[in-house]
Amino acid sequence: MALLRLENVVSNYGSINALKGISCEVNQGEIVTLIGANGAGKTTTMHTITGLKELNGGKIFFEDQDISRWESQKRVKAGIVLSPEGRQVFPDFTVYDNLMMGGYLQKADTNAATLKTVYALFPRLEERASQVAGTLSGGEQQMLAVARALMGKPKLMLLDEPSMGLAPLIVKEIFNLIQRIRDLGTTVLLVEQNARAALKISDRAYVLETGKIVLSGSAQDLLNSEEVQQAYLGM
Amino acid sequence: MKKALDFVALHMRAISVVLIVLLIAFPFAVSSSYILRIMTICFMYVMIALSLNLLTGFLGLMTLGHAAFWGIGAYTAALIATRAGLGMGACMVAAAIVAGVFSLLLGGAALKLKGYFLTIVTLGFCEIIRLVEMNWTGLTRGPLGIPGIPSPNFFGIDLSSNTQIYFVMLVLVILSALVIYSIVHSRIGTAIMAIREDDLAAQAMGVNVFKYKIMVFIISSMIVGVAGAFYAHYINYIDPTSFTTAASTDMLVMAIFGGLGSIPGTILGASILTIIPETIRALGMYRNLFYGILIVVLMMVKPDGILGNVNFKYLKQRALSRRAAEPGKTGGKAE
Repeated sequence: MALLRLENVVSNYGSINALKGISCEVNQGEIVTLIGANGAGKTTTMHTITGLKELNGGKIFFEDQDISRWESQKRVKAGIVLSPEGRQVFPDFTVYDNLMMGGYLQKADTNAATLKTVYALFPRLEERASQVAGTLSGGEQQMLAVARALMGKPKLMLLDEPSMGLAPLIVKEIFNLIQRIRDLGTTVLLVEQNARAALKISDRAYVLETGKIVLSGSAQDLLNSEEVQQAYLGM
Repeated sequence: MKKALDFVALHMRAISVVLIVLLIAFPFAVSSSYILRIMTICFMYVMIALSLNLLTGFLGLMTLGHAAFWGIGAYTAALIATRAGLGMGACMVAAAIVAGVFSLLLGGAALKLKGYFLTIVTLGFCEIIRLVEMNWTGLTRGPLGIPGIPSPNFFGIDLSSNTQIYFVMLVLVILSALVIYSIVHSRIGTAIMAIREDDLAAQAMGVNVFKYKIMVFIISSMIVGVAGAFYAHYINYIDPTSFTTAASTDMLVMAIFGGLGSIPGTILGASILTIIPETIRALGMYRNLFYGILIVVLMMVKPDGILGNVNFKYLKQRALSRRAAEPGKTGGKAE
């Protein structure tokens, strides 16, 4: 059963057609990656799935329920949680308060329990719990953004460009963490410019070009595909 | 300085109580009606600046239209008091409701806008309200203003002596500070500040951004509306020249001067900016120059305002954890 299914999703910014009928699905327990160049519609897809951007056509199903008209809060509650692009942590909040904000819709005792799991995955965040998030390094802020999304107890976690602007070593660490998060039972939909690293940990992937899916398949096949190698892997 | 701030953070509640007790005792120690009037006006501006700080400091919406709601409150109270003969309590409730309705209408239409666009809309709104006050002569008497507004009274009890008015305003400012404090320190307050920090991320966490924006906008406008009703009863006369965008700017200056997002900062900022111009009256025509220089210098030295970058909640947490760590340090052996 597909956890998330997009059917002919259309999304516009005014008269600009950002998504021109996208259909794809994410199955329970998978890591699926959307790759594509700047302006291909990756972030728009993420925002449309989470309800941050309104849907202008097509349908979105989550656990076989039509969520196309749901408000974003309801989608978060149902278990679709986004970690937005550009590590948008709350800079004046402490690490702890950032994490608590991630569990905004959860009960206090649920948050206490989730926090333990999150600290086990991100021990550095526990050390820095009382530090103001804006003073963390870029890598730590990205960890925090991912950890904060986990506090929402997602069934499906959407990660928008988690490797953006980070040193290669930290990117590796983050991708390892994404795998561990999947192994703990969270399905992951990943948007990445760093296509090689993303494909290496993914099960399947879709290639987005100017608002359309032009290619899809298992991550391994795409890694080997000449088209993808030329356009996105720089080989 | 750091130690002093830690001390304040740890004893915020005690300090507030002491301050309130001192302010209650103040009129018994000082009988000068001139000073009592300054203090009363100072409390009113603290109340206004606090309401604006909730909107601009905690939620992060920059507005240049706050004086419009002050004026709406003042006109509502003035009209009801002079035409229907109702007491100040009823006028204040009415002022809060009417200001709230106007903010709902404006907010519903404009709060989807972001940043400067919203600021411009509030600026325009303030101008529109002023023009209505100026030109709807049938209702507001236009530039002639509304005279003869009865002095503060409560359920028929006359409260028009300087000391009584002082206490009326003290109660109002304490109540509004309490309302704003409890909002800011609740779950909603955290959500509001998250919206200020990053509204997209807040929405992604499941915060209903638009709902909270409207809610805060209405609460803030209602509080300043009540302050307007007080102003009308206190001065006994209002006209449109009080409720201009320049007045909005003054309010904003107070909030920024004290520190956006800081309740103690706002209290301090609004107090300093109302009391200092009075204390330097001797400077005569140079008074405004001095006032201007004061603001320019502070903004250069401390661009965040007096207490804008001081988070007492975090200071307290840190001071407490340091204190918890200390006995361990002295008890354990050095490595």
